[in-house]
Amino acid sequence: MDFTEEQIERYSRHIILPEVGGKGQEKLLNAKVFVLGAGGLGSPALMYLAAAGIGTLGIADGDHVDLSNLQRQIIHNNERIGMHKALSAKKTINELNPDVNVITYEERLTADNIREVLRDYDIILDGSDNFPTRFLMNDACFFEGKPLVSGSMFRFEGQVAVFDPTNGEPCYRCLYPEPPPKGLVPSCQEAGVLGALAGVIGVLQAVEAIKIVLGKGKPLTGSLLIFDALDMSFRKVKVGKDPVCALCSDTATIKELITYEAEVCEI
Amino acid sequence: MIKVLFFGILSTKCKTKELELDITSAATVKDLIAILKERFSDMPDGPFIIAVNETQATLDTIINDNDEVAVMPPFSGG
Repeated sequence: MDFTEEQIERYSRHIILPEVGGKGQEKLLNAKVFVLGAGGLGSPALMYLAAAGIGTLGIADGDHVDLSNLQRQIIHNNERIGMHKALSAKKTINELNPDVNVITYEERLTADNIREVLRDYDIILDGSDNFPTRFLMNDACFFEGKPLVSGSMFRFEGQVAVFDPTNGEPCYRCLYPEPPPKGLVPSCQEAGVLGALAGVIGVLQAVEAIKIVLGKGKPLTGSLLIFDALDMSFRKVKVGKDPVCALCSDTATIKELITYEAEVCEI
Repeated sequence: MIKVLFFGILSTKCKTKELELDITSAATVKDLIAILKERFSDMPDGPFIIAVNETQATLDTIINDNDEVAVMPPFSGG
């Protein structure tokens, strides 16, 4: 691939890194990454993925920009209130880096369409805001054989993990077999969330996706990273495959996507 | 003495992020959960993963003196 002069300048701080170089930057420009949710996690993740020159970014979000989003969803702004989040995210990305081809899905993905959408991408990022979608994403990524970079938040705490069961690593269900009972884990809307925490966790997801594209370093597979902003502590817990996982083990019972009922008060 | 760390909704339900406990020798993770549930009546049954010294444990994992046990529920926020 021949870089334009503008690309050589734009990506010069990457290209000079021995772990990236021209070849790595070419991999980034050829990569297709899908981000579910242009919200708290999706906003910073998308902006860094776009800045890095990920060639194709898919964005799915069925919501519109709301004033209460702007405390953390930094890809949007005041003038975009009421606009589809996926379209607002696309506008910001186009202004940041014209190299990126952005594909938007202005809808909530369901069991009926999610596998078809994910099929076109190399790596999937989960920035969703509810458990039914998190389980749907996990199962769909397993069936499609795609690595899933998962991020989630609760008040001042966040979790990051890479699930890659196709390559012998655990999936989300190996850690949490079923969604929690309704009402046990409050959403961000009910519980509150530190805005800048979304930046920390979303950017970690972007870092993991970029590492996977480059094939450099050690991704967070077989690990769960927990960040506590109040203690400013990172804890990396080793996690293993569940030998009786209902999705990814030899004794799996889940053979198709499951639609869990939406939580009562989700955002 | 062991250290128990609660994350997410568990620290809210149990009203603490960290506590120290004396446990009998050869206690398992299952024994520890029973002790915690007796002490914290609002502690949910799950889901959560339990890590002993930063490695995911099973119900049969033996907990030794000076171990650190983390109880981690999933988060949904994004």
